[in-house]
Amino acid sequence: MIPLIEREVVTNKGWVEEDDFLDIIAVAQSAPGIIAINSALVIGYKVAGIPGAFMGALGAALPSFVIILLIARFFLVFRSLEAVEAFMAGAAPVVVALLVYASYSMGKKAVQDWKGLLLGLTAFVLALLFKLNPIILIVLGGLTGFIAYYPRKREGEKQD
Amino acid sequence: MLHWEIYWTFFKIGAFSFGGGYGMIPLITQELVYHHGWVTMEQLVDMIAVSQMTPGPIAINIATFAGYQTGGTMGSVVATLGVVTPSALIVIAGVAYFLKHHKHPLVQAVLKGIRPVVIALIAYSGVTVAQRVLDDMLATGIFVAALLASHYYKLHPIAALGAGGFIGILSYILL
Repeated sequence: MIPLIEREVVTNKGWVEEDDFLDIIAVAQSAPGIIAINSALVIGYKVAGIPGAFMGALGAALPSFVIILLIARFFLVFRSLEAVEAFMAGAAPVVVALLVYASYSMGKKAVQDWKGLLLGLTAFVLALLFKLNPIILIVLGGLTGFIAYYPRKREGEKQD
Repeated sequence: MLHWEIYWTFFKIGAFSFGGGYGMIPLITQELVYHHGWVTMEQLVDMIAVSQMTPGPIAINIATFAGYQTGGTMGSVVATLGVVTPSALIVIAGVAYFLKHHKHPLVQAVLKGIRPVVIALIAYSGVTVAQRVLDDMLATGIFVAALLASHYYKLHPIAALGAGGFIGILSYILL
């Protein structure tokens, strides 16, 4: 989706500069929530303030919303048909594969050193054994990151 | 009352989902399947498959779908609003600040700790769904084939889901 956004707002409309766009995407990916919505909020805000942010987010969400609403209505009616049943039975194992593959491909970027690997494995085991709430694990992850990665002793230096 | 609960539930999901659509799935599973019991694991798998096959951000798709299933059209509206609200608050409250400080070592350190946890949670979701879904040879075969095709041939998720569904229909006709 990011290349599409870039073509529209940088090349076609000229609303943001190329360098700013990269920063916006970095923020949109780091902040919680949906990356496409976050990008739309930031770009909308930069172009036209709070109304711009709202309209941007609305525009980014509305097509999906309408499509899914239509699908959901029909899907729930047709779900019990045997052909749909058979299709979903074949698609479900693919969902497992997509989740496993997403954790692998995203993990290659997210886990950068042995500390990250240890943290990820610990979180996985905690989730598996104790079914800890994901929100608790995420907060603990943030705290661990602060303890493990924040360079407190080198306040004079600029860290990149 | 139900709609308010849906809104608040998706607000929490929006506030703690990092890393896009897949990062949201562990939270959705926890809140909708385990905590509230609004949808079953099977329904959640359906939603992920349909959300992935339709255009637009997966997270919006899942929120709309789950909201509809839980509370009708109004449910889908409040779920989608709920999942977007935290982002809107964060962005509007601090857009200038964030653009200046997202490279700040403190922010980076916290994110560096959050990201491996998100990956672990996505993998854990995979395990949870697998326990429910991979119950015979055919399903396991489709899973392995989809995983290999994603890795070695970069097969698009939509194509993978379509192929899996097609095999499902074939096996229904033939077996």
